[in-house]
Amino acid sequence: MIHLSALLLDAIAFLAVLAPAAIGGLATEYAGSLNIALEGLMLAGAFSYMAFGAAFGTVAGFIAAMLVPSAIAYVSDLFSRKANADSFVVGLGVNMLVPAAASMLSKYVFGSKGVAAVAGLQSGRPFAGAASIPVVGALFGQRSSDYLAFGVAIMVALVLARTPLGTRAKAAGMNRDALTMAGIDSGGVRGAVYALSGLACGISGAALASSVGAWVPNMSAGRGWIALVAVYLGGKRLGGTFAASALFALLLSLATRAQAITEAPAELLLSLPYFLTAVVVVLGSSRSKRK
Amino acid sequence: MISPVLRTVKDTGASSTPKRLAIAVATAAALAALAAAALSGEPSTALRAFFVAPFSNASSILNMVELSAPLALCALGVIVTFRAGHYSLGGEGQAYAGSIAAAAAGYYGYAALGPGATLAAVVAGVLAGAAVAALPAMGRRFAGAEVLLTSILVSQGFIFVIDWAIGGPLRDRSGNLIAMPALETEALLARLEPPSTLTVAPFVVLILCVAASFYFERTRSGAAHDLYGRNPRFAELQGYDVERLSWAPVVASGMLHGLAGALMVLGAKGTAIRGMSGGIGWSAIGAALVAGSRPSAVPLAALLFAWLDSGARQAAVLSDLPPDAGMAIKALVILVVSSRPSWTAVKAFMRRTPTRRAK
Repeated sequence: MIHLSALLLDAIAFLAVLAPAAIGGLATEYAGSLNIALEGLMLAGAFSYMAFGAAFGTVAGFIAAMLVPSAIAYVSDLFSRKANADSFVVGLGVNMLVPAAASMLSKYVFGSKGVAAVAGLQSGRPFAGAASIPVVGALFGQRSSDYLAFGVAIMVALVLARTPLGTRAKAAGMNRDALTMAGIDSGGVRGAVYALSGLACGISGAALASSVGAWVPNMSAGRGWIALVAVYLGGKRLGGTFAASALFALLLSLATRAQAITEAPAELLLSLPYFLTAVVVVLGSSRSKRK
Repeated sequence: MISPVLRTVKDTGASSTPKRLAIAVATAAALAALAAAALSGEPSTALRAFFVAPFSNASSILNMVELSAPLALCALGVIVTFRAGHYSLGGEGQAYAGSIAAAAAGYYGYAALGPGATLAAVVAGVLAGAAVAALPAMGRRFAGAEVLLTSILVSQGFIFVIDWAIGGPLRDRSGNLIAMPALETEALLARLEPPSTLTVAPFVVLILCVAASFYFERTRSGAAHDLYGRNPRFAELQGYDVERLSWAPVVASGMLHGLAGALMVLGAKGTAIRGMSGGIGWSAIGAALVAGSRPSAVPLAALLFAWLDSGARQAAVLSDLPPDAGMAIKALVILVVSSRPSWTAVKAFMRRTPTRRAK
């Protein structure tokens, strides 16, 4: 039997990984140019956290995990704007480049191309004592990196909803020429939003890496794509995107917890969230079509 | 709906296909030389592995041609979907499904069919690829679900399932490799020029590329396919069968990916190995882009990527160059080929730079 509190504990940890990346993706969608590279940026965040964390400590790891993907996202957008390259293709290029680059660098940084565990980089659970409270205890049983990831997700959401940059991003997505006529550099706005999405994906990756305290090749394992799906399933709205991320987090948590109580192979259980999400996307689209 | 900018993917990059291919070859060669010089402690060995070893004898060249065949088929599949405005990212799972189905049909069907199991394996591979693509296709047809999202999700789900099947019930327990039992030699495609691995696969690719070129350039259906990709509403107003175009290209692409998976099994691999698709779905999108979404250019684009794979693998064996260098170079080639800097902007930048410095 799956205990509700254990299920929620895992679901919130999964949400800490999915929500920042999804909200980062939503930011670029607002700006009219969806960042397809969420998966690669998440991986860049995980690698940066482990590489810089191993060399300079946890705080430096988290800072690098946000700055490095942010710079990659900004440069990729700059490239697509200045070189007239399609942002979709550039995003795919980033998704191919990051795992290869991380694998090459891993050999030099960790001395191995495979899994590299670094002592001291697994985040602790600062409020573990309160985790035994029924149901709501799951909120207190998380790792410190998860709280940091939620903090960044809230910050990005506030930037989108409450600041001039958020308003300009939406304006850039609706009518770039109108923004330019108002004397605002629409390219600069898009660049800033891309950097923000990189930052959000980076903290997602860091939360993933710090939950195990190790670098595992391709550890994002499709979560960046799920974040992208959450943007669409959530109707390209902040609340909807967060709710869709929460749904996927719950499905992933169910698949993980089910491994302990059933004889079913782990791979089959892990495939279920992807199939169920696809079904949800189809049903959601069908509903929109009827409207 | 994905933003309209995605509908211009096939127009991205250099305007003419030969120019685009030339840029890709030059970029790949320059990056390979740079990687060999910068990342390897034995640069001359790495350079030889990239630029000499793959062309050192007829057998090496034919191996490379054989290696390019599955990639070319996947790239052709990508073109079929992209030109219809569907951005299917599920090629990886479709090719992997083709591999396992072909290996199962080839291995278990051999007792009943003998050498006829080869054909059964090809058919099974094609059908398996189509089946994986059918879910996103039906989602698009009946619910208007975005293929980009459903294809990646379904593909990822099937990759888990196939990993389980190869590592579990279908695994050959006699060896350490996580793979299905090897097919009988008679069930594999005949090697045309031993000791090379060349089979009939590259010729199948050429025939399909010519057929696809003819379809897109010379037929009314091909014109409708392209028009739907650019503007579905306009295609509908022209009286074309847009309902069919909303799903058929996705399934056709799945069939091509499935065929690619089957040819991998029936060619050099000899069976289905866990993780054997190895990023072919993503490389195929790059190859399709290098080919400018033109089927006639696909064999050359796939050959370029096969050379990068082959060179990187040889460089990793002969020197200390990381094997992932090949994938990194492919990604950078994609980025360079996708760019189309406007000469006006470049000139303006050149004029502006000295002024800024003077200030």
